Amino acid sequence: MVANKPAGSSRSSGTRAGTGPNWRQAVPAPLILLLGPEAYVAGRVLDSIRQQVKERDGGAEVTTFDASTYQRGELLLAASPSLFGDSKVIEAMSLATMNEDFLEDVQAYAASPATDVVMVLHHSGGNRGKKVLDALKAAGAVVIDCQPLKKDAEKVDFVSQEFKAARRRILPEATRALVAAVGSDLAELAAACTQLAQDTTGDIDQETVDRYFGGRVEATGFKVADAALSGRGPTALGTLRHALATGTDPVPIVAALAMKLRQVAKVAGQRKSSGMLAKELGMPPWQVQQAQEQARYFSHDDLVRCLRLVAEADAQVKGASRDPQYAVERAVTGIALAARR
Amino acid sequence: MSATEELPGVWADLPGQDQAVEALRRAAALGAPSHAWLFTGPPGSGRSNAARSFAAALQCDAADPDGRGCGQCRPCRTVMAGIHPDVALIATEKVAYQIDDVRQLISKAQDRPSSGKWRIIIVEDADRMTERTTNVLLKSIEEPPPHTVWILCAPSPADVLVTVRSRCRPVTLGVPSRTAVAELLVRRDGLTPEQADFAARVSQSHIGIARRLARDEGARQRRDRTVRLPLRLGTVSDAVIAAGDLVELSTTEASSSAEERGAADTASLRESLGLEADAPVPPQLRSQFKALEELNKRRAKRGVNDSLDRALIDLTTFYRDVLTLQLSTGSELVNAYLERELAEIAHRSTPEQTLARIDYIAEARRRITANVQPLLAMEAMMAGLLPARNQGEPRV
Ligand SMILES: [Zn+2]
Repeated sequence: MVANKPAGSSRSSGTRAGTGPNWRQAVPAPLILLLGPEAYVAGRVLDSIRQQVKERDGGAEVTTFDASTYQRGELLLAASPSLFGDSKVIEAMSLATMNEDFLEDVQAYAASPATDVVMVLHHSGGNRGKKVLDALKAAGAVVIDCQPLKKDAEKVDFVSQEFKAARRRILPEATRALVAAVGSDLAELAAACTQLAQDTTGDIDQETVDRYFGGRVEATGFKVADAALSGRGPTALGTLRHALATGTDPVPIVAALAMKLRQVAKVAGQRKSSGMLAKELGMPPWQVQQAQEQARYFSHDDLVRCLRLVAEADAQVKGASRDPQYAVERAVTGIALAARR
Repeated sequence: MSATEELPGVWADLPGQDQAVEALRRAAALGAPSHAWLFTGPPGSGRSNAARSFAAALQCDAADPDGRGCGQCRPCRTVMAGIHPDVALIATEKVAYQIDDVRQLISKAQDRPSSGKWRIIIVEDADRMTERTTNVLLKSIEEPPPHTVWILCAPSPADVLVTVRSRCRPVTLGVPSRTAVAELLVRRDGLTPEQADFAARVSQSHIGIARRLARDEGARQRRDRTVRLPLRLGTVSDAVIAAGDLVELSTTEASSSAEERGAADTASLRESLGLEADAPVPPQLRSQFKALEELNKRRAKRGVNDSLDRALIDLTTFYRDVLTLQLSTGSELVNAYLERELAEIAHRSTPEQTLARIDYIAEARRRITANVQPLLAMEAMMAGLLPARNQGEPRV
């Protein structure tokens, strides 16, 4: 983990509609409600709160409950003043599957929470326990959004924040390469940030990222796709064949091809500025610019054909063909040939 | 039996299936049913509902054999709520049944019923069984234990291996008429005749869909947005964006429909157990609620593909309407309320192009079941629906 300290004054990451503060800014409070399925973010907040209480009060007694196996009375016991005067942190997990005992106890607790106790609750989503959530909110709980980061822009922002907290600089194209390589899992992305921050010195550039994470399937797929969409057929085919020969699964390669082609098709023929398109399409501006550049190589009907080619390849690699490798080659070659430089 | 006469008890939700219902009621009244049944009918004809009603009638406590399937007694209510211990309703969440699933079913079939008269196993989509799996099942159907009744459901007899088919007593369900579905919606769901007719029409008499459209404003809006998608298609960029919208609409529809069904199932489970709506669940009953929750989770997963498929059927109705206008067949339009827009497209394109577009949609439906990324399959399809450029088929 790059940093546990709250980035109090730093710009909040993302602009998603959350009711409470950004998770990086969470500070101890009597009731803190973590809402959303992203377990990694929830874990980070729990760590941070625990750490902050320990630093503030020189130690803390931490009690953790699983709300689905909770037994009546445990909460009251955990919240009662400690013999040794330690600060108390109560962590309640799995509220989405809370049992009746927990539901009743926590509702009673929310009516008059102990002011010297920090209670953090994680609810991953769904309807279970809606009453409890309402009661907690009514009791003034600080709500922290733990939604998964879906868009690349959010992940890029996440990486920037991580390095900022570690007081390190990462170049924009390196950030994008990192997100492309390991961005599908937030915990993995965070671990990659930590690894880069610890193992390297100086500014982190794309070459560094490639050296550490370039062998990943996602990165290979994007490399193939970028080469094909830029009309660099030999590079595209060479990279693809090498990847397939070393046992890479064709399915994620087709997925990368589809994703890149989708971006190109989205901006094709649009006369708006890249900034406006970025906003409208929910893509980061650099992605729009790259897609616009590649879109210039294709006519409208080329793109229609390419879309059908990639969909066909996906059907083939999912079992419709005995030769899935050739199916990918066919799509990659078709796209590279259609691209007129 | 006239179309307006309400069927009694557990049969009430099967409009326009008078012949099949008569046969099932007779079989239940005789009390010695065949041990294997094959219920066939197109999606929306109520196969699973019919199977469930028949199972209820077999277990029913009514004193008069002709009144079996009363809908009032405890066996009827628990079967209909899906919690009768001797009636297993098996629906695959996977694309195909696994052989282990079927082995488990068969070992269950050997047990004597615990409280009911029969042990009944309903296989909701027998068409999703592979040949190897079917052969395992066959042995049990050939020599069934004396208290076991198998009910297999499939779209058509041809979807089930002939060896199995030949050992089952067939029950054929048809697509109910639009009027029959509309009448049911007025009678049972309290809709106005206009609402009911609209829902029955655009759902093409699929009762479950019609009811959902009639009840849920959101579902109606989503369907409307789906069938209007072709009107927005001009460039490849439009196609890709429309594909994204379609996948998003279907995902929303799936989770909303799973939520609604989950809430309804929980309510009926509570009712059948005699629990007030907000009374706490006693510990000894919690496992039943837990099982229901699990079932709902699995349903929601499968639901996205199902609702995408439904959206593609809706989209098909749009182009079939276009074709109807182009060929001047004079048949009624499914999307009559969009007549002006349909006429515009019909005028600007040829019947051959319309047929090709319907084929693109069919191809996308096949790809969804073949596990192609839904978004990608939709993009390729939308690209196929684009107006032909060289003929200057403009955006509407
Ligand atoms: Zn009964």
